Amino acid sequence: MPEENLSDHALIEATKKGDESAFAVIIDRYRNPITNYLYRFLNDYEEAVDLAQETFVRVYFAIDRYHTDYAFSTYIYRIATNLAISEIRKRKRRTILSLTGLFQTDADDDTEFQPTDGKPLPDKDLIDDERERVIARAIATLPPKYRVPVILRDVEGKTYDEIAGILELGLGTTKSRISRARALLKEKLRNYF
Amino acid sequence: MDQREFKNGLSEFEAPDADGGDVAKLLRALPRVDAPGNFMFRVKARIADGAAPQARLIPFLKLAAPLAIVLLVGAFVVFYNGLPSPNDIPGVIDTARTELTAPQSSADVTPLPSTTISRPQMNESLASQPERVSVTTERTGPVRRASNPLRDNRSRGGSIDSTLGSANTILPPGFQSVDPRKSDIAAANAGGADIAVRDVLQMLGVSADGDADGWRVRSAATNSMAQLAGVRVGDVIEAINGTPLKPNTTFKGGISVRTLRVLRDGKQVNLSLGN
Repeated sequence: MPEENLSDHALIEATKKGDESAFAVIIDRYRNPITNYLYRFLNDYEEAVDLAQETFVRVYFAIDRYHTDYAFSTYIYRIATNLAISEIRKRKRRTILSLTGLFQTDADDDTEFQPTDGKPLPDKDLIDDERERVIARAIATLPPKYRVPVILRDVEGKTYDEIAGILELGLGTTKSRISRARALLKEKLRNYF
Repeated sequence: MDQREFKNGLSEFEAPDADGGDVAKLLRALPRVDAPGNFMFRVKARIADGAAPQARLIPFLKLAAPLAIVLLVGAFVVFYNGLPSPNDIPGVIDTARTELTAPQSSADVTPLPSTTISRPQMNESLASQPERVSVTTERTGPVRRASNPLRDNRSRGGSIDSTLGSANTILPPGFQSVDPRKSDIAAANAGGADIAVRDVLQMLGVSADGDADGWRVRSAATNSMAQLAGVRVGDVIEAINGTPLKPNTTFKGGISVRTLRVLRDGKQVNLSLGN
C-alpha cells in the first residue's frame, strides 16, 4: 500500500520507527493548509511559512509524545495555533520595546499620501485585491481568541468539534466565539454588505 | 438555523451562523495560499540541524550571556574591593605611617635649647632631625587617641608643630595612632629622659671621644654652637653646665647647654654658649 494512502496515524507510527518518507508524506499533506491557516492568522506570508516549518519541526521532535487518542490534524493545528499566538505576543513586546515603533506607520495607512492617478477606474481584479486586503486586515485585528476559531471555521472549513478539540474549549464556547467573531467582522466590514 | 442549538441554551446571537452568513461567505471566498516549493527541503534542513532547540536557545543566550558577564564583573569588583588591602592591616600601617610622619616629629626637637641657639646652630640641629626621628620611630608604640597632644597645640594657636604636622588622621575604631608626638618617648624627652653626653655634644656640633678625664674633641662643625663658643680640636670637655663629664654621664632631655668647661693646653677654660 503506497504511503500516500496511509492514514495520519499510520504515517506517524511509521515515522516513529524511523521512516523518514512517511513524515515527508505528512508534511506534503498538511503544508498548504497549515501555511494558509497561519497566513490568515498573522497576515504575513513569510512569517506564516516560517512558523509552518517550525510546526513540522516541533511535530517531528515531539512525535514520540503524540498519542492517537485524537486526530493528527487536531494535534498539528494546535501546535500551529500555539506558535502563532506566541508570535503575536512577541510582536506586541517588540512594539512596546521599540522606540522607533512610535514613529512607524502601517504601510496600508499611507493611502492618503498617494497621489491621485489619471488612469481609468480600476478593473474588477484590483477591486477584488483591495477587498481581499481589507478582509485580511479585519481578520488580523480580531483578538486571537476570536480570530482562531473563525479562521478555522470559515477559512479552513473545520467542524465545530474539531475546532473545540484544537482550542481545548467546550463546544458552546467555541460556537459562541465564532459567532462573536463574525459579528465583529461584520461591523468592521460593514461597507461590503 | 439549527433549532438544536437553541435547545442547548444558546441565545440567538450565539447561535452559529445566525448572524454571520455573509461574513462566512466573504471568508470562504478568500484565495488560499500555498507553501513555497522548497518547504519540504527547509523543514528537513531544520530537522537535520536541530533547529528547534537552537531557536529556543539563541534568544535565551542573547539575554543571559551579557547578564552573566555583568554579574561576573560586578562580583569580581565587589569581592576584591571587599578584602582589606595590605595597607589596611594595622601592623603594616603603623610602619608606613611612621615613616610618612617622620618630618612632623618636630616635637622631638623641642627639647633642644631653642631659646639659646643661634640661627646657624638651629640649622645644625634641624640637620640632625632624621637620625633622631629614626631612633624615635623604632621605639614608638601605639598610643590612644585620647592622649593626643596635638589638640593642646591647637589650643595654643598656630605653632610650628601644628603647621608642620600632618593632618589629624581619622582611623577606624580599634586602630591606634602612631604619631610620634603622642609617644612615650616624646613625653620622656620633654620631661627628662636620659641623653648620653655624645648626643648632647653632637647637638652642639662636636665629635668627641670620652675617657676618664672628659671628652676629647676630634672635630667641631663649622658654625656650630661649639665652634662659635670657642671649642677647638684637641680640647677636652670636662663639664657641661658645671656637671663633670664621665663616659657614662647622661643628661635629662630638657637640658639647655649654657656653659662648657674645657681643658686646653693644661689649662681649664670656661666657654659660654648662646647670646
